[in-house]
Amino acid sequence: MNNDNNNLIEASGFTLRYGRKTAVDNLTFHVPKGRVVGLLGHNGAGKTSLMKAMVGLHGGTGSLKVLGLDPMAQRAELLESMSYIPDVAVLPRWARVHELITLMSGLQPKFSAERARKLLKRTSVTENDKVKSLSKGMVTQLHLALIAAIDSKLMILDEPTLGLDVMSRKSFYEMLIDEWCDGERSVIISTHQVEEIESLLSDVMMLDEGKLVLNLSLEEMDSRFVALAHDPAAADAVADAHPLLRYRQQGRPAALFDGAPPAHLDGLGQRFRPSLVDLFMALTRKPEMQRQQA
Amino acid sequence: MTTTKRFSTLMQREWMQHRIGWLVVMAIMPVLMLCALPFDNAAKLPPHAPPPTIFALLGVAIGMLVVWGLSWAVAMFQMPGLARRDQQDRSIEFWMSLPASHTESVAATVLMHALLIPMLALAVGAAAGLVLGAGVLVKLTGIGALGSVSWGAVLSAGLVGLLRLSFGMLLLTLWMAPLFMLLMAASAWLKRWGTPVFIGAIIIIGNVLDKFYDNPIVWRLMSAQFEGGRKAMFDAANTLKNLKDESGFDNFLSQFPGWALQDAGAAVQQLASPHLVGGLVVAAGCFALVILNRKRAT
Amino acid sequence: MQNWNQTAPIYQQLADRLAVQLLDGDPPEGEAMPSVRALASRYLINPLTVSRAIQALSDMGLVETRRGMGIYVRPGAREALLKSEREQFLHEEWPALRERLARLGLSAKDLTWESQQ
Repeated sequence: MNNDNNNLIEASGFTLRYGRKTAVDNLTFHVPKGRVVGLLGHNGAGKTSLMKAMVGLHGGTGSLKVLGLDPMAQRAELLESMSYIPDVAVLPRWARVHELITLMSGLQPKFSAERARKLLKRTSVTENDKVKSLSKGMVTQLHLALIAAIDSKLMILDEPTLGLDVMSRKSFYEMLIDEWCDGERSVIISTHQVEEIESLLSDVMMLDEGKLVLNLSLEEMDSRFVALAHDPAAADAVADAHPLLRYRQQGRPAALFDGAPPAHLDGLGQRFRPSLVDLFMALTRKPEMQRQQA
Repeated sequence: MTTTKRFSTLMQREWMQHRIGWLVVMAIMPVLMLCALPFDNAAKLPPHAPPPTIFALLGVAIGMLVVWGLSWAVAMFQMPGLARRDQQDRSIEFWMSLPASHTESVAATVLMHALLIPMLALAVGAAAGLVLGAGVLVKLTGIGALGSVSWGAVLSAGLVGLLRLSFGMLLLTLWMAPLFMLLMAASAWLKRWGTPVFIGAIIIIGNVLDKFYDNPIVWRLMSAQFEGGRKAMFDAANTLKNLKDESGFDNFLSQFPGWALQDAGAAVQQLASPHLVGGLVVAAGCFALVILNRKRAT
Repeated sequence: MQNWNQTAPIYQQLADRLAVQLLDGDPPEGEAMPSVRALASRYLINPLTVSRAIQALSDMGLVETRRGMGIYVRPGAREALLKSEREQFLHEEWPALRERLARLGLSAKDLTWESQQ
């Protein structure tokens, strides 16, 4: 593996097509080490396709290097240093937990059975349980514990908290911070629970119809986007300034701007920090004009 | 992690997932026999029965044949279904997230189901046959018969037989490979229509070629594989009969190991056949097709 | 879990929260701040964001990095913080409060200064 720089993932002009459909369109980005990247997008925006490409399940045109390797061509080697959870909880239903631990020990060199057992103690899953007797939430907890026991440099998680209750999600976030945020590993996580996860992220990537519409660190986001809550009377003035999105924030009209809003608007309202959800809505909805022209 | 460790773990997975079924299939016949043993207490040994030692050996042979036969037949029936096993229970995405290649996975599956477990069935059958043979002997001639069996001879001849058959099992798998791999590939791509379509195609094409073009090639190819397999399994040069006739019961046992070795050699020689080589090429192609199908599953 | 509002960037909100604790003497002056990882774990915030919060506290002159040892509360930090909080109250919050009292027709004698037991 020749990865001299700090980037765990590097993509340049990467495009992925399924037949005639373009799932991911001309992406260029890089993910350094020590990051927690939130991958946001509507269903069908290309999140899962991009993740599949990163784990070597589908190839595309352009360049995509993960841990310095070509995911498709060097998949077996890549999988020894990377772990991922695909969309659905897909553990084999016939297996008992201790059997899964044995199998993973034999297949994944960086898997630690001891760590898996330790992590499982925090859940209600015991080693003798059969996967098919577990509830959906418990299967997810089990899968997360097994993956967390792999000492990998890169974790790619597609909706890992689907079906978990609040306490289990909290437990997962705690584990993410405690075990994975050591400055050397990176995590790519796609989720619908955008509000919950916002504070855990260091970077955000937003996909809309296969295109990368946003790729920023949270730090840059804080300084770039501004929201303004105003009185209804100021609505026209605000609209004339062409905000990215106009919406309601706690009952008051609000507008989201890319960059500072024009100075004259400042007196008409109060600035506040747009949430990640609002930003997501702003950048991935289609403007009304385009729809009328189509 | 070495390929060996990964491969052995994949085989261990097969054992974990299927062991109950395998053990049940192996145990069915012996258990049934065992249950039938207490009945019909008036039965006696027929007049021209072989001596007790040979009788016990026959028990071993029949045990092996029955347990192995059932086990192998069940395995062959299951092979098509194995092609899409992981896709059907959705666990393929989990296996794909671990560093084991498709080639390793499919190879481990085929190796366990088609070769290693039937070999195990031979051993289990031999042991069960020995016990049941002794049991039948006691039932028919009384407990004193046990003393008149030369157990050493039975065990050594039984072991020789087991080894010859195990080796034969290996060769049989090579002969049968094109057939069960074709079924596997057909099931992989055509799902539950795979087996019917394949069998239908064989019958139709075979008949068309035979009746209209006077070319029974399909039947010839298939029977060549079956013949090759049968011979590889046991009695490759058709010399067992000679051994029996020439030596009589007493010398049979002492001549048996020598014969078995020769027979094995003959079976190996028979491998140099265009049918076998062509069959292996077909099997390899089908293996690739099964892997291709797995790749498309995610 | 989610207790960060939209008034300010998350790092700023954390910095403010930590400053309030400093005001209460937690940790006391001259003592070490909890590590970035400990804070990240406690508040469920990315360590990079926690570092920004610590940097903000440092910019406010409340903490300092001692090489090889970690982040420590500066002597006089509490005093400085108290002073700036007082200023902000007296110049921004108090006038607004005073206006409201006037609007409500309340005067000093209507207000109880001792907390009820």
